Amino acid sequence: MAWRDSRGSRRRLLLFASCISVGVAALVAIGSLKESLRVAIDQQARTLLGADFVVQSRQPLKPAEEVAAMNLARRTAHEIRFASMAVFPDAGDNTRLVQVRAVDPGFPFFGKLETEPQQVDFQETGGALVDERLLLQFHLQVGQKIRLGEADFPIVAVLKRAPGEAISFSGFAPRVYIPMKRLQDTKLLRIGSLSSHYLALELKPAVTPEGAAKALDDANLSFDSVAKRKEDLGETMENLSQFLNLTGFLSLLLGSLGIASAVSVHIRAKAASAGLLRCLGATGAETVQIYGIQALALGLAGSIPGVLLGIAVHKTLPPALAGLLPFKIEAVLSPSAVLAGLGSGVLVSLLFCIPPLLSLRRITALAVLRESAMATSPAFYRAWIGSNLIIALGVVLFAVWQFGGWKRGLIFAASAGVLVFLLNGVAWGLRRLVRVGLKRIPRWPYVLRQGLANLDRPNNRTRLLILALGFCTFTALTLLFTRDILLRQLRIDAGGQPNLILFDIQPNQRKGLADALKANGRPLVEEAPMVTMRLRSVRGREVKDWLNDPKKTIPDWVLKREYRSSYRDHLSVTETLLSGKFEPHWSLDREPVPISIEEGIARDLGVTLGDELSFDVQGLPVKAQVKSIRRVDWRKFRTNFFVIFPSGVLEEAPATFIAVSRADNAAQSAAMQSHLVREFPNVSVIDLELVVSSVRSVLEKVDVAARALAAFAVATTLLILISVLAGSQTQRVRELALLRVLGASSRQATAINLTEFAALGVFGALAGSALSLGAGWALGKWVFKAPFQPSWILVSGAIPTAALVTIFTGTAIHLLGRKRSAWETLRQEVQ
Amino acid sequence: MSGPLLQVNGAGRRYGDLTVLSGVNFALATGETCAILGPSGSGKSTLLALCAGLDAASEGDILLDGRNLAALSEDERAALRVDRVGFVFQNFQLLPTLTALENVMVPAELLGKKDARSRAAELLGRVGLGGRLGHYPNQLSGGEQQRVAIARAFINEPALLFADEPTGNLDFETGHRIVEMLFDLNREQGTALLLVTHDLELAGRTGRVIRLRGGKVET
Repeated sequence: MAWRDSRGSRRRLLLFASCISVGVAALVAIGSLKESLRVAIDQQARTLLGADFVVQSRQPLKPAEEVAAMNLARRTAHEIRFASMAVFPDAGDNTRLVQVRAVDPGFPFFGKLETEPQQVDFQETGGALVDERLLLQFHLQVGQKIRLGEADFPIVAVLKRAPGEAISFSGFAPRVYIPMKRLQDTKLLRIGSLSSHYLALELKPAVTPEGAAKALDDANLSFDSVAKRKEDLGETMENLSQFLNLTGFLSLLLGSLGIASAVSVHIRAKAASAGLLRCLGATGAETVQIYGIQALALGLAGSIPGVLLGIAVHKTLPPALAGLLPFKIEAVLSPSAVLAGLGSGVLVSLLFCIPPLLSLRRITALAVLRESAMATSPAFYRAWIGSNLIIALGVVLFAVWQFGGWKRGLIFAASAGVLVFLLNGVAWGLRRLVRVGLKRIPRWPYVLRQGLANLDRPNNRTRLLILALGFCTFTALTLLFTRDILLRQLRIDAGGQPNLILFDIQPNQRKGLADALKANGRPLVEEAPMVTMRLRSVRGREVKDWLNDPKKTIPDWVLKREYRSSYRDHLSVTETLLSGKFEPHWSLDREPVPISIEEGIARDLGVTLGDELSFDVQGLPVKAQVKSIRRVDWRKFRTNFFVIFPSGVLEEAPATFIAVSRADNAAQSAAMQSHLVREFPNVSVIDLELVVSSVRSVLEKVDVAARALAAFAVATTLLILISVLAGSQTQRVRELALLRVLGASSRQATAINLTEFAALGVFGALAGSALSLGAGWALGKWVFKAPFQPSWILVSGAIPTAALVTIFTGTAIHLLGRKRSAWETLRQEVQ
Repeated sequence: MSGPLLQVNGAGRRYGDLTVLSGVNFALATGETCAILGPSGSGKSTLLALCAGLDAASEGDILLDGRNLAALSEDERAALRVDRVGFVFQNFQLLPTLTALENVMVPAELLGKKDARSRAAELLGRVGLGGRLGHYPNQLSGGEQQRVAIARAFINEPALLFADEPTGNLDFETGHRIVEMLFDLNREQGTALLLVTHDLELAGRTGRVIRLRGGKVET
């Protein structure tokens, strides 16, 4: 009966079924991607680190620590990493900031440095492995040279990938591997130079990573193990897939609203048939069953193509993400993801069809004679409320299952609910405004009034359309706003602001460097000493104790990090005093030393004015007291520090200097770098342009995920748009035919149609834009902690775009569906 | 203008090999009433559509208000309709998103008339719906909807009114009132009336009856 009853409306219903296809496809593709990631991480676990256990320190390991580590390991290998300027003699002496990695032979123990050509022994030949990006940038080839400090290295191979590292994130300082034995030839590492020291261990069979960490326990050391790396990666990958899943989840919910809306209209149109069935003796339950089977079939009809699409899409995701991942990944189709996608599509669409199906119970046998014969009773309303509660519960359970936990599930379900609620609210408000406007301002041109009035056409599903268009606009704009906030954080006013930072300047190089800058016509905007130190205690409690306290609120990295602090007698232009008094001078013999601390790190450390901190300044303990708290504008390219000491305390400590300068263009910057690297090979230069372009390139890679999200949203919206507009096409054609018969010109008829479509697009875009502005503000305030300056160009672009897409889709459907003349259309209805 | 308001000369309509109407000749003068009578499928509505310029004749000429419809573009025919012609349909054909008042205003607004609102309100008052101006079609009975349609048909004071089975969807009593209304307005405004019906009694009230059978005028 369900099959027979669907005759005549199958095509229309099937079109609506497609609304959930994108959501199902997303679930299948992302589910399979998760499986692919899990398999890849499992298979390549040991190669992620290249060793079983790695010890890291800002200082060379102490001999005792070295010995302790050797006792734990079958093999060990040292690695020292530092930033330096590289010179390319075969490329016109061009220079570039690189990350030098000097390694002992044998490392990595597991996996390998992927190079082209393969199996090159750079240790033996004393050459360098150079990141592919550098060779591309300077049009270099294997066999040519790279100069680091005072040593030249033949480029023996192109470095494609290092163990456990993503290709995309090496853009800022591309990697150059050199043999440890040749590090001293460079003469780059001097006292106070910024470098990281690693000791990689292949552990003895009886030693666990936890045991090794315990044996080497020291606040100055940090450790990495395969399990930790796997856990961190797993967490990152989980976040990535959940980020993608969110749009899949929303697409499916939105698609289900589309199906529910179609079923609702279908059931309303079938009121007489349902009444006839009741008249012929069918029970209410049997009637519900007939249309329930149709709803189930719809869910299945939408889910099956969704599964097939998901299977096709899942193959494209691993290559798209390859640059972002620190390991190789191959597409693995997950049968459980396929089943989950299929089941979700069917169940969620059925869930959303409960209210329209329930309305069938209102239809009595009298409906055969009188369309309005619907039973209404308090019991019915109770059931209606109950069915909506079931939907809410169903969505929550679905979200809990999708996002793997009650907390996340509830957050996502609530977010989806709030999004739908707010979009609905804005859409309702806009329509109300227009309705009131139409009544109050009768002088609006007729075609405009008629087009806007059409939004209230019975069964037009205007709300659903605005919801879909709003969702799409919201997703696209919020992604663009997020990107904007990230880029704006890096943007520095070009008008005469510094854009070069020179670091690792030795005290005896300061004058020479200032002269060199002057000779190049570059200003020395600012110079600051930098002294490295570590925390010993916070508020009278040893760092070690803090680290062992499971209830502590201070993050580990804040306690263990190396603080690069400075000293001066004034605040810099990027600093604002928030509280306390900035102490300009002091002497070391009067402890505690009054220091100024940046507001963010003060918050992380949980310290305020008057609290005491103790630092280990390269072996010398220094007691300090927080005397002032500053706000630092980190976006400014200046010598910014977390902790500032007064002058008169740290002058005798080993320090390097940082200088800030400016170049008006790339040529000036290159000329200056070239000059400096010759005279001061240990001094490194960071060019702001390099930072911005590197971040931009990473953002572009991350854009893959953002584009996938936007694609899901756009595809679902288009399907809903097509389905709904096609569903209301008959009525629209009939109305236009009537207007033509009454004497409307083709221009007037077209204008009415265009007004309706444009209004839909504009309302949807306005609703989505309004919410995305709110989301942008919230993201800026709470997530990125940066001021949100909405791009009105984007917003004003979104509105005509949505209007044009709706106009195009609507007009295409209208033209395709208009087969009869106006008169035939009106006559057809009578017959 | 001299000559008949509507002149049909040997008009016919074919759809492929199927001839729906052929060789129809008649003329209608200003203020005259005429019924086209015939069984279902006799070509009544097709003839009405040809006369109103809603469909193009396959043969013969139709002159409305002295203008040959075949020589006019679709938009020119629409402009002629809105200015000179009114329509009443069997199934009322009201726009569901507009109120009774707004539905009546539509033809006047298409012409850009400034007094559309007051004129529509006055006409609705004339047909007894002065208290239902703000009601939507789904809030009105069938008879009320047809009265709205009649008010709409007369708002531009047409020279000719086409009525396609105007009482077909109404009960006897309501149908009777609607017919009275149509003829009253016909008399008051001097509007010619061309009715399509298979109701002999209704046809009998018109000045002339054209009987169609198998697409041809019965003599």
